[in-house]
Amino acid sequence: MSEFYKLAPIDKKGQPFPFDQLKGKVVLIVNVASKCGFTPQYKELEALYKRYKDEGLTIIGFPCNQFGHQEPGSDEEIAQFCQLNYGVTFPIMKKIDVNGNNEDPVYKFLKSQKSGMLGLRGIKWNFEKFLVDKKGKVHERYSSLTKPSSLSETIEALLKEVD
Amino acid sequence: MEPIDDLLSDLTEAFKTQKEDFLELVTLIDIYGEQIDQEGNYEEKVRYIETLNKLLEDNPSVIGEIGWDLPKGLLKFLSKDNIDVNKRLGSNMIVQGVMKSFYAISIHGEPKKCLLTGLELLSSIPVEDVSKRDQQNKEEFIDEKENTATPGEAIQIDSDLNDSSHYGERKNSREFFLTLKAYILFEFIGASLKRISTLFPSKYLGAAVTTIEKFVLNHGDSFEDALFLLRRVYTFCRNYVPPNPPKDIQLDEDFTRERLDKVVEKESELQVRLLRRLCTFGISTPIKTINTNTDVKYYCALNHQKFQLSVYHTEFLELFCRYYQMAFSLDVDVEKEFQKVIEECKIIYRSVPPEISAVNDEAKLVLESMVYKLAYTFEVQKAANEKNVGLDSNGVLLFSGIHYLETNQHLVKRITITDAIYLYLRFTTPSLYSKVYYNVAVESVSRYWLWYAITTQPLKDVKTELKNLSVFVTKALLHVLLQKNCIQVNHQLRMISFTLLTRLLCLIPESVAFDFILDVLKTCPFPLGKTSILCVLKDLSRQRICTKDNSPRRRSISEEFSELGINDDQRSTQSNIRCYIQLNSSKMKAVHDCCVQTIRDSFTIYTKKSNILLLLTYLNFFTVLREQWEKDLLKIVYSMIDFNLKSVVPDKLSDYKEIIDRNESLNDYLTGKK
Repeated sequence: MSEFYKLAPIDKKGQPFPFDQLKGKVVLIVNVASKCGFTPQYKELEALYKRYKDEGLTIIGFPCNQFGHQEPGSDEEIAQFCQLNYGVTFPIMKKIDVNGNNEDPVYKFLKSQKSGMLGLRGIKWNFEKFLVDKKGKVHERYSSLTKPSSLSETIEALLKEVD
Repeated sequence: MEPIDDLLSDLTEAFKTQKEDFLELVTLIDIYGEQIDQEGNYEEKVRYIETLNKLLEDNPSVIGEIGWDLPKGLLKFLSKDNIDVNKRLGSNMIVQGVMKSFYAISIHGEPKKCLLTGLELLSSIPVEDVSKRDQQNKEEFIDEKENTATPGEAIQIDSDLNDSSHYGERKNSREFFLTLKAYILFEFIGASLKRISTLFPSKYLGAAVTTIEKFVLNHGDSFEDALFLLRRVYTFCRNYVPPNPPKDIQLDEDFTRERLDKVVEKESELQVRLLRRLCTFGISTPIKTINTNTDVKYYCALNHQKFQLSVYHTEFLELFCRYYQMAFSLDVDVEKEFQKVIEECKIIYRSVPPEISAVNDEAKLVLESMVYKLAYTFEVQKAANEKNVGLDSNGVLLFSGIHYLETNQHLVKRITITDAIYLYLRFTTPSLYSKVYYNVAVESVSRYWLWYAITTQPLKDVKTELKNLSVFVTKALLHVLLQKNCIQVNHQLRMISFTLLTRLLCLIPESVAFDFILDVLKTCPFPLGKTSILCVLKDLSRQRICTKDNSPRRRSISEEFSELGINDDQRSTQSNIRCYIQLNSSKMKAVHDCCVQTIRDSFTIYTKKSNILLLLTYLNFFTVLREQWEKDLLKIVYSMIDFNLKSVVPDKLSDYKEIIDRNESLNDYLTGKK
């Protein structure tokens, strides 16, 4: 079993969100922030989610305040922001660190599987994306500049893969 | 100058007729540009720049050939003659036109040549020439704000240089033009770098990093707006995207796929090292004169006081944190790197011999002065022998402080007082020999680690370590702390650092502490140093060492520390074993001799107020300690002052009013009136 499914981050309500429930799904993991130039990507993320969720896509947002302090609110405030401004329906987790001594195990795992530009593992900014296939393998890592809508083709291909 | 319409018509014609002869075209553009800049009025210049810009945009192939040759001429338009620094840049059409032309060149110019042009210009932006013309224009407001939140695309025309929402910063126009040109060139360099197609991008990034470092070093000290440099370097570093390898690489038997992969891997590694270097250098050098307040925050936390930064410092903190996070993005293991710095400091100081090894006073003096110079020599040798691009140690130390500012947690759980002292000396003493190493930001973090060491380690361990430390190192620490603090203008910082000095004096062996105090009273060139150390001596001679159980496991560090009793009269009287500095005849005589010298200095014709203030401090000191002090010595002090006062000319007597009062009060005590 992939290590990915052994992870269990904490959701916005403080409850564990075991990743073993994601087996057989394609998962897009994004570190999000409410006050970032890339925040409007929420809209495209939600559109992707709505379009593919019935086919087996899950998007998970991890709020993070490490980049420019652009996610200063509480978990409750973040959830409210996503809901009110972008109608987000995909799961938003508890605020975490994605880099440094207190990095969340989810990100430790993801970064160890796929490095970014110049082979660097560290997350560069908000709205970096990791696409995980149905077997829990990190398929690709995308920078903040990659628009969620541009991932449709890859997601479709991954969704078509046999479990 | 020929009429502007004719000139513009000639320029347009030149773009048509000289398409094959680029040298001729560049020459014409230069000639027309220089002519219009020198002789034209604002409107004519705007028309010229706009026309040139339009011609460039319409002829991208021409830009490809000559674009790299135009920036120098374009920058000449950014001068006091063409720009009113009091007005928003957005309203100046010359600035807008120049920026548009730079944008066009960065998009269509030959990127390698453009990069080299940008680097050359950045390293040679004329500062002095402009400043001579601009002396009368010293204090003016400009509006400037740079957005570092989103990655920029080439040159941002609607750049933040136009933003008027920024709080008004007073700047001189010399700095204004320097920052304006530097802003454009940083963007130009970044944009050109992105477009270079090469298998060896580290060569180009390396050239850019070297030039940027040189620029920061040359201008870091003189910039009023340190935020500008911080932002520029940060933005460059964060927005860097490695150029793509050429699409037409021919793989064959000699240059196989494996070999290509190895080149790409090696190049990636080199680029990362360059970016890490720039990240650590970029945080430490532009803020050489900006206090990070790390020690202040820690002091406030210790004393349960609220720590609040000014708006000015908050803006810096925001950028510090961005650099700190960027370090993580670049996979810098800050803790590991900090430990490396600590190890480096140990290498510098661990072989300093104990005092006993000095065979005579001369040898002692040699060893004493050697300690001050160790870090400087190390720095110079390190710079000379550096073969690989490494992290900037100042930056690493700063990150250790920013970690605390950002997270309220300490980067390392344990640091010994010995390591903290070595760290402090390593980062503060080089500045005694060269201005290049002066860095108050780094000093603040070094003091924070001193505070941290003495407040988190059991007092018994701290005292033992300090007892075992070479006296040469201890004295160097105390002297540097005092000296740096004497020139500190911020009252709060001065107070906090004096508290640190006092606490260290409580922890080191009494003989070393007293020797240091006496040395200061005898030789310190700063009157403030003498008056302050006298107050410290007064406290240490009165406060008594607590005798309660010292087991660290049973009591909190803050409890232990509070029992040092400094500035806490009530607690100190509860126990009565001994004082931190036990006064005896020989110590009193030594202090008395210093006082006698001060009396002499205070009654010369050219005496300064600081001497009189020091004498007054001595009299206050005796007032507090008179019960312990030898009366015969006090009588000598009284008589000497009384005698000298008689020789003061009447119109100068007012300067000595308080001296007269205190001296009479001393006499009253000595004669039994009080």
